[in-house]
Amino acid sequence: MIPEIGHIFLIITFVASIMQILFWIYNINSFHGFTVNILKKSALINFSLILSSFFILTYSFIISDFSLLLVSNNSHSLKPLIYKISGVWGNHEGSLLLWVLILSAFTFLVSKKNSNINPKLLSSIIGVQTIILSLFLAFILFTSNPFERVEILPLDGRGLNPLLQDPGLALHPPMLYIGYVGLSVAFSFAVGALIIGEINREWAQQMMPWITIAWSALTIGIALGSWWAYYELGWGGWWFWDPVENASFMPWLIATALLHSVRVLEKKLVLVNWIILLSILAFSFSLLGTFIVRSGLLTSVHAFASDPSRGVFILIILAIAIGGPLILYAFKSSSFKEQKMQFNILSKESAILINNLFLTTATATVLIGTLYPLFLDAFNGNKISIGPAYYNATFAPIMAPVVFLMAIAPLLNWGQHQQKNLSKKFIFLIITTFIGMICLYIIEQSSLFALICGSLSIWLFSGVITDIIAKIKEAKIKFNKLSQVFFFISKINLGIHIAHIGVAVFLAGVTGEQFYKTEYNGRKHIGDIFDVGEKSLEFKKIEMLDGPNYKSQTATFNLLNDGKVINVLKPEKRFYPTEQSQTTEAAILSDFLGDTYLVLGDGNKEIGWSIRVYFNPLISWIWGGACLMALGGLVSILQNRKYRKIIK
Amino acid sequence: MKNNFTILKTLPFALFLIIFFVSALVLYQLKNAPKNIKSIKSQLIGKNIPEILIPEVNYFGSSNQKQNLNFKEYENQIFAVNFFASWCAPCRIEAPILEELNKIIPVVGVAYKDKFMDTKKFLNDFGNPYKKIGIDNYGKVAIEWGVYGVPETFLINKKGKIIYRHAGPLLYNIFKFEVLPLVQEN
Repeated sequence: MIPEIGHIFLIITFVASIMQILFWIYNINSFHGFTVNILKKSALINFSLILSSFFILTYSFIISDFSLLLVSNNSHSLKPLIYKISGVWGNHEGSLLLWVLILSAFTFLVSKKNSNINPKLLSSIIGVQTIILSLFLAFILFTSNPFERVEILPLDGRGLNPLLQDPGLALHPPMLYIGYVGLSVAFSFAVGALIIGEINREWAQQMMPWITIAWSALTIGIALGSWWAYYELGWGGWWFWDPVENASFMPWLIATALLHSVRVLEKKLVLVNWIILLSILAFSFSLLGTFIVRSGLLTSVHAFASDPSRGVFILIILAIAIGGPLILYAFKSSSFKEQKMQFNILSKESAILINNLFLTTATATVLIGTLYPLFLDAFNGNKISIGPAYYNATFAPIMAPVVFLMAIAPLLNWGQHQQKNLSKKFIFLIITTFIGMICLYIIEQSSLFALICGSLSIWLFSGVITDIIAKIKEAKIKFNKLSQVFFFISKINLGIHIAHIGVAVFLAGVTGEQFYKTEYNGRKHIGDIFDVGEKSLEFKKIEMLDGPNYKSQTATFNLLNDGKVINVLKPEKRFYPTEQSQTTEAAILSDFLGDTYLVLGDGNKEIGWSIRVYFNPLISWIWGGACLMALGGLVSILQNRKYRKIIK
Repeated sequence: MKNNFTILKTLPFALFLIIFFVSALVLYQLKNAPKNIKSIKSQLIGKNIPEILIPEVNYFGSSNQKQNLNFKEYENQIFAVNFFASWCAPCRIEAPILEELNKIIPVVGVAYKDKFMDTKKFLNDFGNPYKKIGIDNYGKVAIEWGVYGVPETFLINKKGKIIYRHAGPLLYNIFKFEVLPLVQEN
């Protein structure tokens, strides 16, 4: 009975959303103040209905109601509570429900927070959001209903894929979806502007926080996914250029470009068409990502919902949601009033423009790498996959100039007039980077690429420091008064600095992982002692243990340094009887400077066990950097709010 | 820049169209590709039936016989074992078809985690398609048979080996095209 209520809520929302769309289209020209009020109310109603429906599904998972197909396929009565809850979105149907929940939440929040913008624009934004909502509700109701009942009442559930029973992954989909769906706000702002044919600086200011929230959440979501892949899949790497990873990375790249160019629009009315296009593209890439993951077009670790008929439905959604706005863009984007862009090569806006150029090119290379196998498959039926070699050759060289510019751009002023001591800053920046490079070379002699990669990180870091120091000097604050210095730092664009330092930290992590990694593969018996890099490992024992819902084969290794035991590593292979599947739990010793990563493979007493060992220097910096980037985003939202309050 | 419609602005849409059509093409190929129909196959197929240690219950007799459910009288003939419960809605759907089956070969019922009175009411309401019925209060037998859920039906041949398993309600077309041919063969 209770699941049927959830189902009915979804149907009501679907019907209501169609009526809201018709209402909005009917009133699109004859505009009254009450139109926007009704649309605002309807956004609240949609949100509450979907939220109730989502709670009902969660409740069914918690009480293990196996009469629901979704619960019986993805849950088990013995599963810990947290994974019962995360099981709600650990599958196709439930994750789509989460998707529409977040969409309706964003629509509601926009209608609440941006109530002071042009009411015509606001009703268009809500209208566009509602169209997307109704498309996805139709998709849920007609092809992937989470409230479907079973024909056979199962004795117990089939359990959640053990790979997904993990705290990192419990949070990965919600964060990723907040990012994906948050970009729909920018999309609706853009389409709304196209519909009413008007754009101004306020438009950019209102849109900015939403992009920042979406971008921060997307950053965290991607980082969580990468972290999970690193310690759970046991492949030893952190990024695999898997189609599904790319699907989340492309919207991120476009959102990054958007995040920067909108700042230009906040200052003056230039780049309007470009920003509209980017806003549409960012969400289009999110949808494309959903399409790739859900349709089974490209196989990958994420292909847990491959069903071609669903693919057809999503393709129709794509045609409406991407095709429509792009046609609108082609015909209406020329009508915007724009200021003339005065191009001074040494200005913030031109630096951001070049950054945008590189970021979109980088996105294009990722898109080609992701879709090329699809094209080949369509035309001659060959199945290929494109690996890191392609991306290292294409993506990395494009991103290097982006990082190079990242250090310079914050030092520049907006517009034509540059400050006089710019050359001083540059000299300081170059000298500090050069010192850093020499230190790097002395510590660890290595290849040219490693040196370039490492020094880019140092370059970026010193860029941020230079900027902060210069700003403090300009404000004539003495460095010995620390409290004053800190107060001042908190007033400047701290968010940007944190995010940029995040990139520097990330890049340092990448350098360490890519160029200084040591790897060892081999077959070992119990009692063996062997050298890996500068340390050595001793294989002590292997034993069978029982976990809450799995059986595990646990090995014990001693990590030795000069014959002394400095640590113990316990890699596992787990077997989940309910799901009939096996997972590899790598033993990871993590510290600030690097990880020791040990994977236990197959084997037995006679032939020994195959093992893989990696020493990954600085790898945790990769995720640390990503966290800093997201933190930067959040800080800048908070700072902006404060700033706006002061103006008011 | 003058406000003119430029061909450049249709470029994003054109790119999207290309991606759209290629995806459609691949999807079309995927749809027409031969599918692997996954059916739930029992590990027990071809094996001897597991021993059953549950009481046989006579729901309509005057006295309760205290004996275990056994298949001795069906040795050397083909028969069916059906797991059901009064609380299971799909079991109601298959009841008339089981009755048909019972006219051809004996059908033994196992009431899974069910109360005596509920089962009795169920049999009264929907008819009793079973030659005899055992009651599996704790679900032990269901585990030994590897039952996925109720209803579930097994066919056992003359040598006492499981030859067929169907999870879910025994619908008419399954009965006609899967079960009947097997019964006639053996």
